This record gives sequence, structure tokens and C-alpha cells, in this order.
Amino acid sequence: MKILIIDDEKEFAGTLCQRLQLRGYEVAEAYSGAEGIEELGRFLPQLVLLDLKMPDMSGLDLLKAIRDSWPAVRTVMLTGHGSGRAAEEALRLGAEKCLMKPVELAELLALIEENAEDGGE
Amino acid sequence: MAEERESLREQQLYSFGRMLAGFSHEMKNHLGIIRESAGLISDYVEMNAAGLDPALSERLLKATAGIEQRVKLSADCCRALSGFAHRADTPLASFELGELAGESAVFLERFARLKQVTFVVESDGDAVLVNSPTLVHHLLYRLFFLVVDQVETNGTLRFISSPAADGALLRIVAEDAETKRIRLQVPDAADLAGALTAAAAAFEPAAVDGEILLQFATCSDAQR
Repeated sequence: MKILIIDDEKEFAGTLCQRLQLRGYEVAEAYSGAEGIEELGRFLPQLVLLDLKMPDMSGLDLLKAIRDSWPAVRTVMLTGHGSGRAAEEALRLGAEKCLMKPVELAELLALIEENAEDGGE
Repeated sequence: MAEERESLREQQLYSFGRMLAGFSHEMKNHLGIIRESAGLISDYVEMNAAGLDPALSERLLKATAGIEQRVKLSADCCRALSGFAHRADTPLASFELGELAGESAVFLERFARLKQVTFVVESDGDAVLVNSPTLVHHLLYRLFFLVVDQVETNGTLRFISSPAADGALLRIVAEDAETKRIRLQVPDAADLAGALTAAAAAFEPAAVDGEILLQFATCSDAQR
């Protein structure tokens, strides 16, 4: 399964990327909305892990762009506390789920497997 | 003049709230990286267990598990801090009293522990209230310190929220080490005078059967 992590926290994205790669997933990283869009077109992931807040573009705007241009791609939002309304909006826009940071890896892995079984692979 | 002072107070609370919220978001980012890094170390230790001294492997896994556990506790504190900070976003808001008391408990629990008292916040149903969340936080803080000294060592202090006809009810109950109920003294209203404003005018402490009961009213339209 191909997973794209879009998060401006490079260390977080890089470490999570390695942990997922160790578990056999093909993973790429992008550190901004613009880079994310570029990588979506190049890497063609089945699942995107998307940070809600980034400097150049909000996660919600990027989610809309993904829905419009890559409708088959599934998106899981990574949020912080106090982002309740944005999380609700993300779910309304078609995100699979919103996970609160720091992310529980077991929960994330279960979600990835769930999506793989539903046809993401 | 009083309105100007009130407006300035609200602006100050809003600024503090935004700064605290920013701080807690930043801390959560750091914690996220610490947690993932510890997890990555444990991943590598587990994958290379065959080539490592078993005692070293066990120590490394124990250390990373300790880091992850502390990160989890710190993240819970940050979530409470973030929730607390965002309470200042609006002067009057709809909120659930138990949830708000739970946020206070994260910060007050340490003071209870220093007095060797267990502090517990319980909910007896959704107690939704329209009021000033920062003011209610302030009242809970003041009440906590007015009653915690009355609880014996190894006793338990409970704040129990429940819905009421026109707002919410908070019951304050104390128990000794044998879980026998202690009679608390009702805080002197004068001690809380500084915390009382129009928004919480209907807040009235009263004692019934060893409990302190506090009625929080939903603000009227005129008060909003």
C-alpha cells in the first residue's frame, strides 16, 4: 500500500515514514500543501496522512483538492486538540478519520489495514 | 468605565488564551516527535533482537516504553491546557460543566496530591450551561482551595456535576481514608466575592447532608 505523509513537521513526518516503511508500506513525505499536491501526482498514493495546519495551505483546502483531483485517494487527518470544528468539517468533506496528535501508532496501523481491506490496496 | 474595564479584562483573557493554546500546540508537536523517535528505537531493537545482548535489548525497550508512557501523560496535560486556553475564545459560551471541571482537575490534581488528598471529578449526566467558561474555571479553582484544606490526609475530594432545571449543579463531597463522608464547611461567600460577577450571579453555595451544593445558572439574554 502506498501512503503519503503531508506534514510541515519534517522530523515527525520522517520518523513516521520510517516506522511505516519498517512495516512494509511504501511511504513518501511532503512538507507543505504545494509539495503534497506535486507528490500526489507523482507518487499516486492510496492513502494520505494529512496535517490539518500547514503554513502555505490549510489541510482542509488540500483535502478539497484531493477530493476534486484524486477522488479515489483516502485521507486521514492529523489534528491537534481545539480543532474540533475543523475535524468535523474534514469528516464532512470526506476524510476517513481524524487522529489526534501525538498519534497512537497501533490506532493508525489499524486504520491503514482497514483501508487496505476496503480496496485501498 | 466599568464596561471598558470588563472589555479590557476579556481582551487580556483572550490574549492569554491564544498564547497558551499556541504553546500547547507547539508542545504537542514536540511530543509527537519524541514519541515517534522512541517508537522507532524500539522498532529497531525488536527487529535486531537476535544480534543484541538480551539484557541491553530489554533495557532499551523498557526505556522507550517509559518515554512513550510519559509522552502520553504529557499529551493529556497538553490537551487539557489547550481546552482550557480555548475557553477564553468567547466571553460567554455553551459548555458542559463536567468537561470543564475535568480540565481544571488536570491542573489541580497536583495540589491535591501534595496535600495527600485524592481529587476526583465525576459526571452525573450532561450538565450543559451557558455562562462565562473562564469565570467558572476561576470559581472552581477558588472553591478547590477553600475546601481541600478541610479534607483529611489520604481522604478524597469529589466534584460531581449534574444537570439542573435552569443550569447545572456541582456537588462537593469529601471522604476520609475509610470512605466515610466528611462534613465540609461551606465557603464564606465573601471569600468568593472577587470571583462573582453578573455572569455568575446565580451561583449560590449551600450545604445539604455533608455535601456542598453549587447551582450554576445559564445566563439570561440580558446578561449575554
